[in-house]
Amino acid sequence: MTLGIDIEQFVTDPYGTGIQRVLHQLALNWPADVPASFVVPFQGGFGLLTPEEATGLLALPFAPRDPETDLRDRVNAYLAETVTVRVQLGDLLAVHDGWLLPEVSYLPSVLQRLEIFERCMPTAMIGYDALPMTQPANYRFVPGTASWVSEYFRHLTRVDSVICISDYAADEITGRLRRDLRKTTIVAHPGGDHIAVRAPKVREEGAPVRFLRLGTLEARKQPVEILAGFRQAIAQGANAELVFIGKPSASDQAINDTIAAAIDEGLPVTWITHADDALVYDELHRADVFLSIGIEGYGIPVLEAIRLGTPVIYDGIQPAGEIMESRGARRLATSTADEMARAFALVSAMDLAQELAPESIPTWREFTAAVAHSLSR
Amino acid sequence: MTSPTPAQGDSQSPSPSTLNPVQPKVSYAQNAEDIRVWRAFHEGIQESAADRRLTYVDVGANEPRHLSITASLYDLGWRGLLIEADPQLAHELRRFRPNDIVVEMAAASGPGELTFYRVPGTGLGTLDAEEANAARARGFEVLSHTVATDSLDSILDAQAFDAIHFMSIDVEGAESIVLQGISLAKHRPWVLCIEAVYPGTSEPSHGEWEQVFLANDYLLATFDGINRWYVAKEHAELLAKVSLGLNALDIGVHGWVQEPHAQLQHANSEAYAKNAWQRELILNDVKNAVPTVEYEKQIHELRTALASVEGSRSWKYSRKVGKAARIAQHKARVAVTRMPGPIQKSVIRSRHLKHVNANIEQLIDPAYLGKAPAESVDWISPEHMPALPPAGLSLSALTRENQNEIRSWLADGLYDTDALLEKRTDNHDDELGRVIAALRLRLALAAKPSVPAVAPGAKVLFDARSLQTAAFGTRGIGRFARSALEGARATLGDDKLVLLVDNALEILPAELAGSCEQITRVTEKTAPRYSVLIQPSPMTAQATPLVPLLHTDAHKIAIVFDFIPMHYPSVYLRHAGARAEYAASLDALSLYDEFVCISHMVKTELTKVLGRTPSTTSVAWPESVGPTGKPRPGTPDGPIVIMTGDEGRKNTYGALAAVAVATAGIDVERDVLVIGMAGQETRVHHWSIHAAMRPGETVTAGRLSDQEMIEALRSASVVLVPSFDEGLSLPVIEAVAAGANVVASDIPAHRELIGSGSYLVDPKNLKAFARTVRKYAGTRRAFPKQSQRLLAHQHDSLESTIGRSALAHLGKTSVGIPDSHAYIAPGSFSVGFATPWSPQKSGIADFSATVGRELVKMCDLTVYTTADARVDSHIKSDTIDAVLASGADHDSFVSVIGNSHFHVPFIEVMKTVDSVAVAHDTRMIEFYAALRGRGGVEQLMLRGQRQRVLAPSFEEQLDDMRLLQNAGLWEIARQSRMLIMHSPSTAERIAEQTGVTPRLLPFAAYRIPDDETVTQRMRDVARARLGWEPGTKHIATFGYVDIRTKLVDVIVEAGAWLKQWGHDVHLHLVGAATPGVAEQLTRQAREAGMENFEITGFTSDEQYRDCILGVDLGIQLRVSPFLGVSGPLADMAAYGTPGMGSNGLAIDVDTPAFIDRLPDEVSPLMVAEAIEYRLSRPVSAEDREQMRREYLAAKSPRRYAELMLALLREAS
Repeated sequence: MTLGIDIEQFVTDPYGTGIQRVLHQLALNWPADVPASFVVPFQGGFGLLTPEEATGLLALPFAPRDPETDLRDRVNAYLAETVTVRVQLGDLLAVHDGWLLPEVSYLPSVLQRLEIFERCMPTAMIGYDALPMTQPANYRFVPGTASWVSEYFRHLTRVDSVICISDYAADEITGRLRRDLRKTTIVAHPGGDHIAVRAPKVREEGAPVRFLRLGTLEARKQPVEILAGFRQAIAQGANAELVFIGKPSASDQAINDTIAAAIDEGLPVTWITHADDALVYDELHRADVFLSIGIEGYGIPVLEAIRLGTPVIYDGIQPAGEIMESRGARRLATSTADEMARAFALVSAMDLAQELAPESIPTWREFTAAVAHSLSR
Repeated sequence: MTSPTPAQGDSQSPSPSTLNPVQPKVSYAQNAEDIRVWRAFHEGIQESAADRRLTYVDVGANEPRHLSITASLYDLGWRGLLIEADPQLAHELRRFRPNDIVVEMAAASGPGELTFYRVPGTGLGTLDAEEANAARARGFEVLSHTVATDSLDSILDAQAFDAIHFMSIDVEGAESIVLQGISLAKHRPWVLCIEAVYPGTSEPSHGEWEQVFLANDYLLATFDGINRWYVAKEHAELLAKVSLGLNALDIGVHGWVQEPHAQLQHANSEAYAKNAWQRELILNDVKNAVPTVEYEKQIHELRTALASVEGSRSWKYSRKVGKAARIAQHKARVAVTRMPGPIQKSVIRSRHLKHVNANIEQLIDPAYLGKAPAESVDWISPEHMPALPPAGLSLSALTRENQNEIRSWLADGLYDTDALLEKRTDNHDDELGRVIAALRLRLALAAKPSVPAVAPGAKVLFDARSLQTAAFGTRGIGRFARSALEGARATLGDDKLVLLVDNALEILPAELAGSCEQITRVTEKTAPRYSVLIQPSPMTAQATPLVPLLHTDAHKIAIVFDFIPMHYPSVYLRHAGARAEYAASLDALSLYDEFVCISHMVKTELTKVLGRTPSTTSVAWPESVGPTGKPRPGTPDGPIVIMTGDEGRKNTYGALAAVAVATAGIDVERDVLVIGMAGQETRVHHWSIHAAMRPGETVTAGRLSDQEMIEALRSASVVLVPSFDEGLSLPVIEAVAAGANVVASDIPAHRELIGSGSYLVDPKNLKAFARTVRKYAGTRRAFPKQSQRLLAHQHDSLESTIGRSALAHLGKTSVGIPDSHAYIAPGSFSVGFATPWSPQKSGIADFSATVGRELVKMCDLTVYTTADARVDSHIKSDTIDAVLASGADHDSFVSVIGNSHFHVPFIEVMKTVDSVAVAHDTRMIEFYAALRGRGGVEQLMLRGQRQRVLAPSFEEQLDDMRLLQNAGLWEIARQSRMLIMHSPSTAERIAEQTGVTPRLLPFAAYRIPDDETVTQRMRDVARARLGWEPGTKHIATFGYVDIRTKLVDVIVEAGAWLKQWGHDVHLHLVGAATPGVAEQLTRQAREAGMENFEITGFTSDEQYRDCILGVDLGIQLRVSPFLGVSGPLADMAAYGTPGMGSNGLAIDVDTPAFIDRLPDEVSPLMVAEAIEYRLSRPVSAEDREQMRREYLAAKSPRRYAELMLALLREAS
C-alpha cells in the first residue's frame, strides 16, 4: 500500500505547534516498509515528497532561524528547491492506495480532498482530541467556519482508521463524537525521545524553587488559577518563582492582563512570550518543577521535561502525565487556589527528581509504526 | 481475435472454475441482475445447468468478476460469449473465464477498425483520441491498440449458438449503436438485459432504442433502476420470474450470499469511485461536463489550480516583457551617457515628460484639463430610480412654475415601497431621500413671506455645525468658522450667543462652546428670539433647521468661501443629490443680508451668483491667517514640498509629475514631501510611481503640528501649490509666511495673493510646470515679490467684522419660549407612532402593529408609516412622508428603529421631529454601512470616541461580531429625546458609546396564539397544514437566515451530527436567505447527507405561526450576547414550543424554563447533544402550558404599551 500523507495544513501555517512536532517525527521515523509520499500543494497542483524530504520541510519551524524571516517564505523556498514530482489531483488518486490526514485541519481543500479519498481508498487520521467541539469557548472560530471545523471532527468518526494519541482522545472520539466502534481505533502515544536525556540538575541551597508553565495562555490550561495559587503560596512564605512561557491568549485578553499585572506588582513571575525550541529546552532544564495543569489532548512537554531532568506535577486531563506517573510525573490536586498553593509548598519540599525515568517514555518510532501500519490492520 | 471454442468436454465435469475459490451462488452483479437470470432459468428446476446448455452473451463484459452479470452464471455452469474491446480486460477475461469465448472487439453497426486508448492505472479506456491526448498531457502513460469492430449479427453468426438464453448489453451509452448491428428477428435471446440510464446518472436512456425491442416482439419485463429487461414473446413464461426483484427468499431459501457480496461491493465501490474520479478529472480537460455534486468540488479545485497556472503564465509573460524592457532601457541609458551632459538631461526629461503626460488623463479629471463633458445630471445608481425631478435641479432661483413642478413630482412618487427603500440604502446616504429633502427645502425657502416676520430678539444665533468635525476648526477652511465664533463670543458674550448644533455630530468641546446655549433647530415660535444669524458655512450646512429664521428680518451674515462646484459641475454637481443640495444652499444664500468673503475674487463672483449687488460685503480673514510680521526667507536646503489635499482639484499627480520631470536625470535620489494627504500614503505612492519616481523618493507627511509645518516650509527647496481652483489658498499664505519660495498654479486666487509672475504656471502644462520647478527649486528668487504682495493684501479681521456686525444688529427684546408641557392636554395624550407596519416583511412591523393596537386604547394615537402599509381602520394614520414634508404635532413622537432598509424614513424623520427612539436592534452598523458605505459607518463608529481608527478593522469586526467595539447607535441615541431599548445585556455598552443611557422596556410577546389554550391537536393540525411528514422530528430556526450573526451554519452542522447519529430529523430554516447564503447552507446540508433540509424563504404570518406551533424544537443562536433580542424566541415562549437559545438571547427575552439556555459559545456538537437530550426528555405539555401562560401574562403587548406610554409621558 502506498500511503499519501496530506500536510497542506503545515504548509499553510508552519508555526511549530505540538501537532507539527508530531508531523516532523512522523516523517523522521517513517518505516521503510510502508511506501509513502507526503503531499503538499505546489504550483497549482501537488508536490510529492519522500519521507526524507518531508523531514527537512517539517523540521523548519524547529530549527534556529532569523526571527525576521517569515516561516512561510522558508517553507515555500524549501518546496521550490525540493519538489521534483508535481502532480494533479487525479494523479494523487492513481498513485496512492491509502490516505492519511495527520494534522488537525479545517481547510476546505484538505477536507474536501479527504472526502474524495474516503470514497476511493482506505483513509486514516490521527485523533488528537475533540476539544474544539466540546469546549468551543477556548477556540474562537470566526463565524462561518464552524461547518469546516465540525466537518473535520465528523471525518474523525468516519475514516477507516484513527490513531488516537491518548486514551483520553480515544474516549472523546468514540464517546463524545460517537465514532463507530467497529472501525479501527487505536491508541499510540507520541514520543519524547526527540530530546536527549539530561541529568537532573543540583539545586543550590536556598535558591527559590523554579516552577515552569509552558504553552499558549488559554483558559483550559488554567494560567490564571496557577497564578492565584502561586500568589497564595508566596504570601504564605514559599521560596519560589514562576515562569510562564507562552504566547498571549488570543481568546481571552483578561488572562494576559492578569499575568502582566502580577509582574507589575513585583510577584516573582517571569513571562516569556516568544521562545524558540532551544530556549524552551534550556528553561525546561533550568526549572525545578514543570507544571502541566488543565486539559491537554496529550502533553508532549511533560515528556520533554522528564527527558531534560525536570520532574512534573500535573492535574486535570493530562494523558502524558498519567502514563509517566511515578516515573517523573506526579498528580497533585490543584483545582482550587488553596490546593494549588499547597501543591507549590509540597513540591518544594519533595525530591521528585529521584523518580525520573527518562528512558521509559514512549518513543516516536513506536508511534510512527502504529500510524504507518494502521491501515493494514 | 477470438478464443478457442469452449471445450465441449467441460460439461462432463463439475465446473472447473479458474476463478478464485468462492462460495457458489455469489452475486457479483451491481444490481443483482444475475439472481434474476438464475431465478428465470433455475428456480424450481432440478436438472443441472449443464444439461440444459445455457448460454449467455455479455456485450461490454468488462472485468471477469467484479460487477459482472455473468460471473455467477459461469460458476453455475453457463458458458457463452464475452465481447470486450479493452485489450487489458479482454486479456483478463481470457485468463479468468477460460471456458467462455472472448471476442476482443467493439460491437458496432458494421465491420471496421478503431484505435482504442488505454491509460494503465486509471479508469480511462476510451476510443476518443482527444480524451487520450488529455490524459497524455497530464503525464499519464497512454497505450493505443487497434481494435476491430463488427456488427453483433456477424459476431453471433460466427459462434452459431443453438440458443442464447441471456444477453446483457452494457456499453456505457453506446447501446443504440450496438443495436444497429443486430437483427432481433434472426438472433433472439430469451432474456435481454440492457443498461437503460445514461452513464453516471439516473436519467432514462431507453427512448433511443426501446422501440427496436417492442417492434421485434419482445415484452418489457421490468426496469430495475439501471436496466430494462425484455423477454422474447415466445418465452413469455419467464416474464414473471424476471420481473421479480431481489428478495428474502433469494437469500434465505436459495442461498445467494449477500455479505461477501456487500464487502466486495464496498471494495469495488472504492475502486470504482477511484477510477471514476480519475476518469472525470482527465475528461475535464476535454469537456466541461459536471455529472455529480462531488465532481463540482473537484472542478472547483481544478479551476483554482488552473487560475494559479494562468497566473503563473502571466507572471512569466510579464517577466519576459520586463526583461525586454530592461534591455531596452539599458540600451537607452548607454546611449544617453554617451551624449553631452545638457543634451543628456534634456533627452531624459523629454522622455520622462512623455511618460507622465501619458498618464495625466487617467489620473486627472478631464474637467480640470479643460475637457469637461457636456453638463448632465443623473442618479449615482440610476437603475430602478424614479425619473429626475424636472425643475428642482436647476441652480437658478425657482420660479412659481418650477415650484409647481417640484410639488407635482413629490406628490407623484411612492418613494417608500420595500423595494425602493432597499434601493435607497445605496452607500450614498440615500440619494433619493437627499433629493426629496433638498427639494422640500427649496420649496420652503421659496415660500418666503412678502413681509418678513419681525425678529427683535436679543440673541444671536451662530450655526456651529461646520465645527462639529474631528478637527473642530483647527485646520484648513474650518479656521474661518472657528475665528468667527471666537469673534462673536468675544464681542457679545456667551449669554447672548446661541449655537445651532447637530446632536448627531461630534460634541463641541467646551473651549469652543463655552456656556452658550445650544439648540438643534429654529421653529416659528423660537425665531423671534434672534435678531442676528451668523452662518459660517452656508454652502455646506443645509439650511433646513434655519428656515423660519431665514424668513424673518433678522440680520443674516454669511461667510462665503467659493463657488467652485459651479466651475466644475461635471465633477461636483453631476449627481442629483449633490446638485439638489447645492441648489438649495444657493437659494438660502440669497436670503442673507451681509456677506463676508474670504477673497476679493469670491466677492466679485458673489455678485454674479446672486444676480444683485449685496448691500454689505467685505473680505476678511482670521487674525491667525497671514504673515504676523514681515516674512523672512528660509533656507532652501530641504525637500521639494507639495501642498495639496485629498481631492482631484488639488492636482497632486500634476505636481508629482512636474517634480519628476524637473528632476529627471539627476544622480541623487529625489526628496519630495507631500503635505495635506495624511492617511493617503498609498495613493501618493501610486501617483509617484505613475510619475516614474522611485519608491521612497516621495514621503507623505502625517498630521503636522504648526511648528513642524513651519519648519518644513522654511527649509523647503521650493513649495508647490498645484491646485486647479481655490477660493483662497491657505497653503500659499502659509508657505510665504514661513519664508518659502512658492511655485503655484496660475489661477485667480493665487494671483490675488502673490501677484503675477513666472512662478505661476498653467497646471495643465507639465512641461512648463517642470521648467518652473527647475527654475525656482533651491532658490528664494520669487520670495521677495511674493511676500511683498501677500503683505499688501487688503482684508479685514474676521473676528472684528463678525463681532462688530452682530453687535450692531443685536435687538433688545427678550422673547420668551413657551413651555412645551403647556401643550399637553390632561387626559388626552397625543402620540405620533412612526414605524414600519404590516404587511411589511419585518418582525418589527409585526411587533409595532401589535403594540399599536394596544396603544390606541390608551392614548390619542396616530401611526405614521409607509404608503403601502395597511393600518387598521380604527387607528388614525398618515404616511411618514407627510411628516417628513410638514412635521407632526404631538405630545410625544415615537420613531421605531431597526437595522434594515425598512427604517430609512423612520431614522430620517428624527432629524426633523423631536423623537423618542425605540431601537429594536442593538447595533446599527449594517444599516449605516448600506446607507453610507464603509467610510460612512466607520466615521459614525468613531464619533464621540477618543480613537480615530478602528482596530480591529471594520471588516474584521463585521466578520466576527464578537469583536464589535461600537454599535453605531451614536446618531440615533444623540438625536432622540429618549432612547428606549429592549436588551438589558447591551444597555450599559450603548450608554458608554453614546453618552445616552437607554431606558429598558421588557420585550413583549407580540405574536400570541388566537386560542387561550394551545393543545397537541392544534400542533398536529399545523403540521398537517405544513405537510410535514409524521414520525420525523422537525427542528427549525426562524428569521432572516444569517450565518455571521445567527450561526445558522452551526445549526445545520448540528443537524449533520444528528443525522450521523441516526436521528430522523428534518431541519427547517424558516425565513429568507440571500441566494449566496442559501446556496452555501444547502450545499453544506447536502454534503452532510441531510436530505430533509429546507430554507422556506419568506413565509406568511399564517405559515410562520404553523411552523412555531408544529415544530418539535426551535433553536435560535447568536454569535455574541450583544446582538440583541430574538422575536422568534419570544414567539416560542408564547406558543409553548420547546426550544433553545443562546444564553444572552434568553436573558433578553426572559424566556420560560421550557426553552433551554445554551452557552454563548457553542459548537455544532454541543447543539446536537442538547437537541438530542431535549427531544428524548421533553418538558411535559402541561408544564409548558402553565409556563407559557405565566410568560404571556408578564410580557403581554398591553403591559408593554402601558410601560411605553409611561416613558413617553416622562420624556414629554
